[in-house]
Amino acid sequence: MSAGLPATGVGGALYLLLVVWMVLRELTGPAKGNHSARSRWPFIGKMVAISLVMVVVVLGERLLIQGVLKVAVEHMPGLAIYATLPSGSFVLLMAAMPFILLLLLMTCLHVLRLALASKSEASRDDLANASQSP
Amino acid sequence: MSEMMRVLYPVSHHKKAIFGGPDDRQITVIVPAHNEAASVADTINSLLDQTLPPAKIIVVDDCSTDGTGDIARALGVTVLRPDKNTGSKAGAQTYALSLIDTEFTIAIDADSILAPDAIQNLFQAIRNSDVAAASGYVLPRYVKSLWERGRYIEYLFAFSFFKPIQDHFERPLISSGCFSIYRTDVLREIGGWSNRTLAEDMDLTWTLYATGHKVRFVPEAVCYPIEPHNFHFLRCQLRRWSHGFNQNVILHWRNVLEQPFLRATVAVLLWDAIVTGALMLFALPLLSILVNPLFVLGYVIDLPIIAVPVLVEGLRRREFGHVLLSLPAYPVLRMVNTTIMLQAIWLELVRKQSLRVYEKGH
Repeated sequence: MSAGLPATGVGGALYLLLVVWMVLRELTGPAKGNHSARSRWPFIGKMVAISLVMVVVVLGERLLIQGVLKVAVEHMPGLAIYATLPSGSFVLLMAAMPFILLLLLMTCLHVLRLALASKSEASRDDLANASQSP
Repeated sequence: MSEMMRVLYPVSHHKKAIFGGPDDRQITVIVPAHNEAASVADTINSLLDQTLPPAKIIVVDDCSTDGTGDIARALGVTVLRPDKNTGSKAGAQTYALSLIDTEFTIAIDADSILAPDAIQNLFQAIRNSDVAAASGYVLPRYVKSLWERGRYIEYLFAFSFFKPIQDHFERPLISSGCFSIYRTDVLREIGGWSNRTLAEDMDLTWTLYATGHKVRFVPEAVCYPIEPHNFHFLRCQLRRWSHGFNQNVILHWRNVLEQPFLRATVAVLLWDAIVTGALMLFALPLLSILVNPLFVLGYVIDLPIIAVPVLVEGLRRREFGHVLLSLPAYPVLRMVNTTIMLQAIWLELVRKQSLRVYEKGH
């Protein structure tokens, strides 16, 4: 079990998206005729709060690492070659990567599912044609 | 242990009166046991101490050589002993299934104890006729060794974050084999617990989904199994779980593909096992040596994220200090998990060498 390594693991990304989906589902549920159960909101609220804190922790962790590296370089200038921080756009790309990978993974699975469905439909048709032929 | 349980969980006995009605006595508990003399008495006592007591407790003494059956018999429960060892937990549980005449069946490991209201809480979920199985919250009974501490964090994270979300979407990944309740007729309909994989609980859960049944997770029903305290037992347990997971993927993949939520959770698990595993075992060490030593931070960089729900849960359970002390053990356990999982993926999915020998995890 893993929360997913930043930029590679998609586990954390999936569960964060599921929390967002939970909220959307509850909000749009009544409009679609499903009454949103009030009892579910405390749980959803808790999950949203935990997820938000997780995101804040990730941002805080980056700031902390930056700060520690800065202090380390001040005291030991030789470390400067290791302490070069990636650019902002690179960090943004890395943050978006799990979501991009997740989207690709889900798309691949969906395509696989459709391909299998059409294949089994084709084999059913073949079987039906074979049984109809004299 | 019974006295200790009363001290730990001072549940008033008036609750028994509430369940003295028609709901009572509809449950049989199966306890599969092979050489569990050290722990089976605690399990039975915790079952006898439930606020909703079962009608019958059946211990399947799977040809133990340490007097497990005698200990169980002395505590007044039914003991069954097959002619020969059934070879797996699934085999022992299914052996007892034909003797069950109650509407509900609980399976519990012989090294587990329950919070006194665990069955009562689990029962609330399965009273809904759509629900075929329900499982509870699992926490290690002892949290002392490095491995137990790692497992403690792993369970707190999974059962307070992943599993409730899965339950919200009505697709818990697994109804845990160490403590679950089932509708007996549904169990019989699908042939009981199968030993075609090493993770019979996952196999059963996915079979239930494939046949249109619901499975629930009940966080209020708490179970405390004994987790592996040393590396040898941990390795046995993880090998069984990892190979079992892959065997279930091979067996159920077509049905899993048809269920959007399950498809997503299983795919993500496999992805993280392969990609994150490969990164941890191969890429991070190489990058740390060849490019920048700071890459070593990759091993613990997501620990603060994991710490969030775990510490919240620790606060709720008044175990904050304990949680904080145990957190560093988690990355160590994860490395072992990752290594064994990658090995299992290689053997099961690539080499097609299926592990078939059931190795006990404690």
